[in-house]
Amino acid sequence: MPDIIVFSEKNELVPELLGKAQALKDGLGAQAVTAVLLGGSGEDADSLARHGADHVLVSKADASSAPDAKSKASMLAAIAREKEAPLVLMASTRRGRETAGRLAHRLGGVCVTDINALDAADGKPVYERYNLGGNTVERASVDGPTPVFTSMPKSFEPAPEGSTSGDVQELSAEMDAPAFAVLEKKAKEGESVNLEDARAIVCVGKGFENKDNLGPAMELAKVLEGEVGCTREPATDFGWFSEERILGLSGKKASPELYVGVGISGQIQHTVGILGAKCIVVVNKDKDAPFFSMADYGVVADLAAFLPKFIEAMTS
Amino acid sequence: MKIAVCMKLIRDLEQVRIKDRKAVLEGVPFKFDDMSLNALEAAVQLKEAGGGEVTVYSLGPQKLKDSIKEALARGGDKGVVMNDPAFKGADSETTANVLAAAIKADGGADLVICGEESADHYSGQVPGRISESLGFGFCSYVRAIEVKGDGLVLTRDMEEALEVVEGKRPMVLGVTSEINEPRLASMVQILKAAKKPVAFLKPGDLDLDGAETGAAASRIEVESDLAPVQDRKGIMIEGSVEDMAQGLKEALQKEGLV
Repeated sequence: MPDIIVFSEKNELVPELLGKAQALKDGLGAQAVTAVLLGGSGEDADSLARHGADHVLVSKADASSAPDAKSKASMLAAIAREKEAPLVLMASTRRGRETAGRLAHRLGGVCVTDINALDAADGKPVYERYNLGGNTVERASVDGPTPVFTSMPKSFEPAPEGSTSGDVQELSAEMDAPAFAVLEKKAKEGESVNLEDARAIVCVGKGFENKDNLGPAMELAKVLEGEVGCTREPATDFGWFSEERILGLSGKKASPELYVGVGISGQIQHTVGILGAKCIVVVNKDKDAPFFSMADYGVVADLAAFLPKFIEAMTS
Repeated sequence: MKIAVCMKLIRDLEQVRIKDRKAVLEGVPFKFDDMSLNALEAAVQLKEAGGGEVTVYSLGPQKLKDSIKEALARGGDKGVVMNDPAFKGADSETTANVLAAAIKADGGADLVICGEESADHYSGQVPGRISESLGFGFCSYVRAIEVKGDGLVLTRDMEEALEVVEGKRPMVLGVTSEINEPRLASMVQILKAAKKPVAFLKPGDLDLDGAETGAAASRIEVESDLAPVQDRKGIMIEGSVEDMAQGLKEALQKEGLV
């Protein structure tokens, strides 16, 4: 004690939270990083113990008996208080965001969701997050009792395997009764597309005046071993794609190695979805398209002419 | 059912401009954010189906004095507005406490509906805070609401799947934009709205345990809030279409990306 508390229902996201928590220990006067696991196997716990957790607390209750924010917030608040946590760090999944506000209110402190940077200065957490829909980056320090943060995926370096040899303990969590029970889970209509994990994304914009031009975009995505995404209009207005493929403010956020935006002007409503991309390539026939100002590589060309030629160059 | 709807009046972000890396908000018009309108529509539909009363609560700028009528024209029965200067700069924690206190002062509610997040800060924490303050259950990302006895059956949108859940009232719900299409107010409704009651509350009217209500209460100290400097390479690939295709391929190969 004091322990930084880390939690996400999505196990794959926990190592990056643990990596950041380890980096913050000294700056926040913490002695340890404690990961909380809701159910899960012995293997899951052992894995976290090797990936940055000094302690792993395994709750006997599993995700199905704590499906809501009330039960999870009560459990995490009890642990955070007991461990005198200088902060709680969760992932910005929907479940994470849903729990964060409630947890922070119970702890009487600040909550900041969707951060993409977190450091310590003068013993206080300092975060960065996009503000005003992505127009600005807010950088701020936080005071007061245990703040709660949720972080965007791929914001932090995961703790390497073997960086810790933590212990695993069983936790008899004091949990509020859940506010609801899950009756069933239904697959979402349309396809399930994983843009967040795609190495490369080819993104289709309004510039694709008709459906006939889509073929080369799909082919390019295949050549680049990536996925196809889109801005809002090709999905909702033109009906060419399911809404699962929309990248942007009210759509998905992704940080691929390579992003190729084709026929997209570059309004913030879309670009905020891919700001974290390692390399941004913009193809647009309008040399004044705002998107070029945030491109690594720009090509001023008609997409119908350029895409087939680019595919040819890539596959020769 | 007694339904409380919490609505947020925000600057229209589509009209925000950046000057010297700072966001210019002055002069940008206000509007109720889209999900606040979805929340109101959901409440009104429940009232029309099963009876009850819809009260709109809002903490925000002076402009609420006029804007609240829009909410009443779209189906709210009465309004409770906190636009006193003492509330200016209220952070999420204060906002939630004030809204919850206003709901309690008004005799509570069976159901509190909010947008799951607002379209200016996209923080998504206030509905959860309200639920904790009221001691109610909480369910967010709701895209369908069905009343069942003394409870609710809700369809909520998680990333990987839809979940259908059942719980008892009272509850706080955060709704998504998929839940409905907010109705437009008809001329008749707009005229009727002018006669619906609106209460304007000050901090002294609410049970807030003497807590600060304005910007001074915030424990977040902003160091900077600036448009990011573009640190992208900005390399334009030149030449004929063939040249550019080849040029881009070589650039990406050099980057080790292909």
